[in-house]
Amino acid sequence: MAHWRDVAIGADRLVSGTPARACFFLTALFVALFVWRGAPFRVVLVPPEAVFLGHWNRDIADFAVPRAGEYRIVKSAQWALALLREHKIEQYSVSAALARQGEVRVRIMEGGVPIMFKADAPDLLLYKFETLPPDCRLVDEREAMRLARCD
Amino acid sequence: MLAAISLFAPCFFGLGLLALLPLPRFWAEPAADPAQRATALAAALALGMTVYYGLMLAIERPEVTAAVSLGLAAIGWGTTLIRARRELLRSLALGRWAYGLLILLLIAAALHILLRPLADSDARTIWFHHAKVIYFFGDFDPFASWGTDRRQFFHPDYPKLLATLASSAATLAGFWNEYFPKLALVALLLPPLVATLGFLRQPLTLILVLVAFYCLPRAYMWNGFMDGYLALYAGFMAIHFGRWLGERRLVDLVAGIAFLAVTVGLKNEGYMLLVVFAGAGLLAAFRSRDGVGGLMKAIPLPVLVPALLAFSGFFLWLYLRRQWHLENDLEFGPGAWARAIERLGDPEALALLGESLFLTAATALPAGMVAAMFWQFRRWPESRPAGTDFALALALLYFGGVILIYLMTPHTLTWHLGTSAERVLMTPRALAFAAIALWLQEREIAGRIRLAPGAARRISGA
Repeated sequence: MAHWRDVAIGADRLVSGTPARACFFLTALFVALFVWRGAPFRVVLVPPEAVFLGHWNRDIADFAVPRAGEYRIVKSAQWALALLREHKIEQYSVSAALARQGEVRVRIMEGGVPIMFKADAPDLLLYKFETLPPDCRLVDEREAMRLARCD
Repeated sequence: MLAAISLFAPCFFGLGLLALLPLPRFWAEPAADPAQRATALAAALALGMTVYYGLMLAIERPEVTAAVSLGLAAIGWGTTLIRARRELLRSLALGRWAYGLLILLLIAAALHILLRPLADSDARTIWFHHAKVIYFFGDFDPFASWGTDRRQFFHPDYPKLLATLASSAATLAGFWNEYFPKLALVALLLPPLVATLGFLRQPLTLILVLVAFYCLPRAYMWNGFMDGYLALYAGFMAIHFGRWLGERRLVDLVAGIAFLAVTVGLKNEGYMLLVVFAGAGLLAAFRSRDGVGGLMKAIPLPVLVPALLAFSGFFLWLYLRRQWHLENDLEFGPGAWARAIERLGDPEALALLGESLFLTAATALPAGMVAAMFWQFRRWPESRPAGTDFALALALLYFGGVILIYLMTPHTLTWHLGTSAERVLMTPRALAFAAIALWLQEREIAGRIRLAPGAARRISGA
């Protein structure tokens, strides 16, 4: 039984990116297919529509959908935004650990508009690994993020 | 949503027509020459966009601004059709090939721009975040709705042209998502693309313009950053003002003004371009055959009306910025000069600046091409167009300004250069390419005249 890993190659790689990247990719593909005989992987050419159109299909379908397209932002921010929207929060604050994560915090702040960040808001976003502050109770959690209500 | 897509071009064009009403000669001049027609159309579109920006800042409500703009655009269309119907219709007739190429380029750009959701940090936190705030809260006052870290992340002092366009697109669509507001980028791309059609008869210049202005900025044309667009508009501004210096055609002057007015609506660097433009303009005026006075006389007084309308958004935003106490994070004050002097004496800082700003392809490529152009000038001094020196002066002064800003920055030099040098260098590069394009176009036109049937006879007869 063969012990190799399938490496899927999509047609989008052949047409996207810079000429230098395309040249590098074609060279790597050539080596993988014809030169490196004992490679621990097998190159599988995926039908173009599976990758190329797959990515486009999603974007075309989402083009006119409100709030769509957030899949490109950092996951923690996506979970936090989902929590805020699900519970119809209007103002929220963030924990100290989350406040230190500049990228995640900014993505939540700009992605969340019109939900407003306010340092003293009772609804608190925090990471799952953080302990809940004494006056707060857990409202909901999504993957690594939690939403708590504080008095 | 379809209304948003189909209305923006006629609306901007109509607003441009309205701003151009004090210039009855404007549509008469270009009617005979296809290249000038493209310039005139691009000028009207860019002018209309800046007028829309001014209206939006004055009214501060996207729905009301859209309605007022449509009304004013209709007046612009109607009045121009009554006053200069023949000239306008002739100017619109760019030809099937030109419109075909425009539609092709626009569709390709639109697919590339619109089918990629907003992902890059600055695009999300600055331009499109401002647009989102305008869309959801209906006002431009950032303190009303934005949280802490305003200056560091959200740069609320940045000009709002893209934000007004993106929020208008969302308002017309009736929702916000990460795709549709990027229609603002397509709208921004339209005037330069139309101006590009003016090079159809000079294929080498056309290729240079397409590669230098549209391809070299790569992702910055579709990721929502404004650096690529600033470079694009700066390049076309230099080309049109450069051409005006040589040929004194009204369409080039108006196009130059309109493109310059767009740059100051995109980024704070647009303000630096405005200062640099004044410096390079003075240099060009002193070197001009007519002197400063002659050059000023060549500017018709009614041009001030479209110029003021084009810069209305810029003046209004300066006023609103002051009202809301929005300051730039670079803290230009007496301390900035002290920092600059300190860094000038620091060999490590100078080495870092040299490495990031000089020893890079973004500087080396245009510098090499400009050197080759100068070699041509030495061999054939008569082939030096008047506008080339102006565009090169713009490039050099802007490059000097960039160095000064890095010397003055309150941030650490490594961080500031690492996060922005590549983007910031796009504008001086585009200005240098504009100088090369001006020269190349003149060479191609001269070559065509020489090769035209009967030209040899005319020359020998003369």
